[in-house]
Amino acid sequence: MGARYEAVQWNKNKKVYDFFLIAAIVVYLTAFIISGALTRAGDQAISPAILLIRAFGSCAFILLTLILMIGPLARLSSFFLPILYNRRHLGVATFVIALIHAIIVVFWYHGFGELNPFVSVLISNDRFDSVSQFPFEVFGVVALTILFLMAATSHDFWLANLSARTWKNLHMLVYIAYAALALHVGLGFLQSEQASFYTVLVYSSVGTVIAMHLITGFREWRRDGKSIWIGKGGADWVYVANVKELRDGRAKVVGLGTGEKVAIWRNDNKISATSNVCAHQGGPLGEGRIIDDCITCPWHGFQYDPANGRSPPPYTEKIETFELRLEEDALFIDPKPRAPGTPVDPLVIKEN
Amino acid sequence: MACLWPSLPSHDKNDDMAIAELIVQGVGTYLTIGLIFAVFFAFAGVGRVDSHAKGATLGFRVLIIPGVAALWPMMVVKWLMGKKAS
Ligand code: FES
Repeated sequence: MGARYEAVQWNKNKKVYDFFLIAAIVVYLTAFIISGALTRAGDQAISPAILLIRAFGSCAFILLTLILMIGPLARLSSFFLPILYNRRHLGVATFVIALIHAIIVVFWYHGFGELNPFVSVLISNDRFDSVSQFPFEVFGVVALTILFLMAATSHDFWLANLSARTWKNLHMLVYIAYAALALHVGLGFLQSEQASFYTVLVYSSVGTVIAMHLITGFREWRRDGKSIWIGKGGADWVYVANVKELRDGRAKVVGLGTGEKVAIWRNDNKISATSNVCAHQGGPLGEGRIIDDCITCPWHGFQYDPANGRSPPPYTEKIETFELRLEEDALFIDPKPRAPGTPVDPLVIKEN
Repeated sequence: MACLWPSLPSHDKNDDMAIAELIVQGVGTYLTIGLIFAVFFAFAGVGRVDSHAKGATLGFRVLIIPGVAALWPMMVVKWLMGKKAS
């Protein structure tokens, strides 16, 4: 980042996002607890602590499922882009909810004996040789540790100081966390009285996440197959789009066949082309929108001026820009990128 | 720790307990050292490692403490080397 670090770079969108996120979590927890208390009265009643454990545990699982679904969903439909926008806060919220679940578990099940509660967690179940009795808590510990590391290193400070590669690898552990969480919740339900229904629910969520990733991966692979092939020696000007197909405030993403993707933007009557890769964490800029005349990354909201690929001051991020040429309605691009931050005059088109 | 492994197959409860205590103590010690270092780092060292952190807000400093406490050996090395991030 180009500016002095702050805890959170708040803007109105992030505040609205967090408001809805917290409200949804509160509504879910309240509904879970009230319905649990009402449906399990009399002989069936369970203690408030267990109800809380289940409410927070299931909430964390749902949130992590959502986190892994919104990437593919946003690729399938721009309708889901607003949820993608502040995924970082969604991740931190998931960790906090999972942590509350773990704290209640440790104190409720292990806090009243003579043993240190954490020692008690480790030795209370040693049936590693049994599926139906397997100490599923182990998977919960693995998932919570990864969620902690991801939440604790989610600030841009870590991206700059761990190196982009290490940071990315660390955050790819989210898939391991999800697998561990699915095993934790799945085995937990298997060992409880509610086995079948919830176990099916958990594994169908996992199946949906995997299917969504496969579908979008396949679509992307097919789209890349349709990229303009400029060959090794390059090409001068290549056709990229009919200007009429560009939607205001959005981009058309075109692959150059060299692995590079370009986003062609329309902002009112101006057309510009930039790299599709965000300078922050490589987010897909072309899946974002133009907000306040700036390209806005769908992942964490970094912004760039389409005319020069630079983040508005005081930020200093830059992305590559491209020259465009218009012949009638046909739009051509010079596939050689200009250095990041190079101004390129936008093409001005006549209003329809 | 190594001397405890041979007794694992016999699955002695006392040995399990000893290993569990060792793990909990080990992790506890690591994180306690990390936490103390993290507080110093967040308020004194972070500006040397990353120039954008000079004059950073209090919220930012508090926010990085958990991560530094967990990854402190890495940050100790960075601080000693005075490595600047761009
Ligand atoms: S990748 Fe984070 S804002 Fe673009």
